[in-house]
Amino acid sequence: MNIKRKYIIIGILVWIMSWVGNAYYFKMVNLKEPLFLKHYLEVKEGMSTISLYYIDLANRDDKIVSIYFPEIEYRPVILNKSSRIYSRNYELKSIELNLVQGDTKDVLDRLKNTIITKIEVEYKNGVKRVIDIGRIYLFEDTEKYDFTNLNSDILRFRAISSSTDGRTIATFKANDNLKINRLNYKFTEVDGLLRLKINGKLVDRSDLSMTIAKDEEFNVEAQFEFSKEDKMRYNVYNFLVDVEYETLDGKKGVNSFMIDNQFMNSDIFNVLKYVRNGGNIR
Amino acid sequence: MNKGAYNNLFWGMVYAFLNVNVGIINIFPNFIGYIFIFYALTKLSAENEIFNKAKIPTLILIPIGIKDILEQNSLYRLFETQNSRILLNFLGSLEAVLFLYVLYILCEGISSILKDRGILNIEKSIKNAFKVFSIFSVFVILYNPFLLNLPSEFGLIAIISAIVCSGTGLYIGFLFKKVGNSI
Repeated sequence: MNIKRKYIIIGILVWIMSWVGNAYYFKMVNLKEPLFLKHYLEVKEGMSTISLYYIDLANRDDKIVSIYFPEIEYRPVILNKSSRIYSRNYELKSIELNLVQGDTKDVLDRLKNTIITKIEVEYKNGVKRVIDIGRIYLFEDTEKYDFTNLNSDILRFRAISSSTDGRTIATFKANDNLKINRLNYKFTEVDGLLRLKINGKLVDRSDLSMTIAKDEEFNVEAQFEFSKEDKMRYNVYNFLVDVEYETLDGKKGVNSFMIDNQFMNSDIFNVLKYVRNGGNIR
Repeated sequence: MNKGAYNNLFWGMVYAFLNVNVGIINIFPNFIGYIFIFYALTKLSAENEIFNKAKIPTLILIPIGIKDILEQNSLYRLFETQNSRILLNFLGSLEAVLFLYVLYILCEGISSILKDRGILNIEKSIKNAFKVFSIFSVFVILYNPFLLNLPSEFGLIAIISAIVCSGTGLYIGFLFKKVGNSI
């Protein structure tokens, strides 16, 4: 059972070097505070809660005591916090906020048509930190379309499905001969990243003129395609894609479907490459 | 002769390899195992000087093993910073290195005693079990620093190796007890 001294020394040197290397790499990700992901959300009337996602050290006691929207001077109520994905050293957690507690009508009026881009997070030790959260549209009025004949009956929503690869497929049925003019969404940031297809054919969202015959069913597919190094892949998306159409006799209308991305694996922790002190993404 | 020392070694191995958590408390903490082993070493060193070599590493292991009183997740909760997280992981790794050396000395010393007395069947079993233990233990030791950064799925390989190490370690403990009964 004699082991050569040379091998023991080499083994110990490899062990020490592995520790120095890994500890250095671990330290580079300086996660002193929870890291909030960027959120691109559209919150519609009828939705009373939203979830914000953040990464924290695994098994660290949660330090967040309150969240405040400084831009509209409003403090939503924290409903619960939960752990979504666990990696050895990090955890993806979510915090669920109740937006419309109390006198619903008053609160709703106050929140209507507002945009949240920053949150103020208060920690147990009293420290408050303002964090860029992306862009969250709250209860926006649907009168954004200046259509005189807004009629979603002409284009009926039939079904929606989404898959783990970030693909959402919505099925619609045309109740009249019509032309799809545009697929529209709020967040121009995702232009080039969100591939849109109609009946499996790739389309340019702002320049399409596709005719759909009466009683025909068709699919609109939306899929995020990020490059490996694109930090946009680590954002949270939940917004509407509007299908804008026009009948042959000039009646315009719109129908929509919601797309959102899902965190399916620990790939999300790669966002830590972009961490800057203070819980913001570089 | 020295039956008590082998009995101490048996209990030392049980405490070192068995973790039974009652709530957040581990009722078989490692440091008690190391105290048993140190006690056995002081008795056995009268028989063979090689056991002296393991005394200082075992003394170092005793304070390191105190962290094992708390169940691991609860222990992590006490440490909020990344530096303390690195330190905690490193201490666990250092513990594995020192313990491998202590067990190497124990197996060498006891094998030589068994050889002198012609009890070769147990001697062979101890050597074989230590070989298995050392292969998996070296793997765990070299893999351990990478767990700091690898996703949790990669930890499964280390967990399986650690289970093999624990099983073999308990078997070696049982063999030590057998040595005490045979001498």
